[in-house]
Amino acid sequence: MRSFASAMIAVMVIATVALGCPAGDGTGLDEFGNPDGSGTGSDSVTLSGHVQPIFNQNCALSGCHAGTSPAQGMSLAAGSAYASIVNVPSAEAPALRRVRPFQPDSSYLVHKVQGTQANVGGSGARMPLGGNPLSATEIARIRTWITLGAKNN
Amino acid sequence: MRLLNRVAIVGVVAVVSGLTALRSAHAASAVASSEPHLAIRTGLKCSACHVNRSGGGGRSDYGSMYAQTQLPMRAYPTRSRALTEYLAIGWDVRTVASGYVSDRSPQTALELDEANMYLEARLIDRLLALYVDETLGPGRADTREAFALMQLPGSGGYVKAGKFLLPYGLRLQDDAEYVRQQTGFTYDTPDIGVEFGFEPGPLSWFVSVTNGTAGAAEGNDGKQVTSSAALVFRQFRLGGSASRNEGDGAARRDVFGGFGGVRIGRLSLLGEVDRIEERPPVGPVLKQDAVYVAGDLLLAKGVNAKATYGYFDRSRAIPEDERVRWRFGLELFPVGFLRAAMFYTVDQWIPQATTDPDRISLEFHLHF
Repeated sequence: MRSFASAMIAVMVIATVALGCPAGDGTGLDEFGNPDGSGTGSDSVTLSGHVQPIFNQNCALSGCHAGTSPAQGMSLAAGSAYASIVNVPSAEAPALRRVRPFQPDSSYLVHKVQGTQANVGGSGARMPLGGNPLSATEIARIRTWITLGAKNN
Repeated sequence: MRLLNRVAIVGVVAVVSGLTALRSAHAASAVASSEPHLAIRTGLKCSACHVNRSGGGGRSDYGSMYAQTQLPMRAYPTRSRALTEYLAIGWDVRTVASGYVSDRSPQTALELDEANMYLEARLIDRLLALYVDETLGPGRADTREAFALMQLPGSGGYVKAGKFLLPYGLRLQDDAEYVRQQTGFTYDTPDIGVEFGFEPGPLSWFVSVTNGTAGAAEGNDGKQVTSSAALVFRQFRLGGSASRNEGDGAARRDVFGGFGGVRIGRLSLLGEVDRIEERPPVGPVLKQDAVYVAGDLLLAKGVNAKATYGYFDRSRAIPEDERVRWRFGLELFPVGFLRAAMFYTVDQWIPQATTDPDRISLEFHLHF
């Protein structure tokens, strides 16, 4: 009897919380949970919509991080970038992952594009190699994507 | 309705429920393991059963014996974790079989979820100890925690230096819960630094200063300061946590929230509410909320029923983007060292999104 009463209390409390905090109905959002038509807000950064275009323009180039033999074995081409970087140990700084979800400061990719790789035990040149550094906005976009969990979205 | 309103309603209901039930509460049967609900059920601080004073990982002598004698349906002669007068070991090996409940192609998996070994060297009894928590798998071996622990005689305090799990919120075993995953305080994110702890009377207060890089090399001049404080009583506990991780320039990540639990007879209720504020170097601040509520009912000695609810508001600036996770299950402790569990997990999000189908998982957990 006591167990039944306890179970009822548990059900009541949890159900009350759940009724007060249900899942969103998705009104006005796309399939990734971002507002329809949005593009640049820090709370709507996706891999496909915001980060991959940066890779495409600056990194996933022939002879760089694309093709059958990408540099460091890291392809940043659409469709393969996620598997190449998220939770994958860095070759230059093995203590770091290339991208550690939620932790941009612990993501070696961020340091490579910021030019701070030497501070975290890394090596080599700032990326993009031989090109202009990414803009502050582009770096912020990558950092925000990682902060949001580095989802394959 | 946004979170604060919801929390207010929940709080009123929880208090009313708690007061009603407390009047007829009876002492619960004692059970222990590496889950916060067991600390609530027993009315003990995390440090009673774990070498790491803020909880999780290797068990203390008391925690080990408790798990062997009070946890299982049937107790056998106990084994001491002490190899010598000053050296003790422990472990957790957890395998999981899971499968999706879906009309799509069946997807099942057998995985080694955790294989960790603990070593404690008590160099000077009740004063100085060395503790190592080594992850042997899955994947390559890695040191999850490695620290020196110096207790401050007569004060109930200690100083810890090295690599350790940060003292924030409820140290749930399930890292997939939003209050773990989204706040960034999981078993995958220990950090390097120093921690101070004070545990006089019912108070447990921990403060750590670490690199803020989740164990990786330092990437900036900023540091992460994390603190958690709780008042622990036999029938309930209440606490709060806060963390600030400074990044480059103006960037920083603030996480803060409250947690608590109450024991009502055979029932343990616990919960946590967190606010996450991510300030990128440029652009607006991202504000998120994460909630966790769980009920654990001790059906019989060695048999625990569990129901959990998780809630995550991905951005307070965007309405109707909230995500919910349910988990129901049964845990069995047939003999010492062994836990078997079955869970049904439901992930609910916006209809247009692709979410994981419902999942059934079976856990087989050896612990010492």
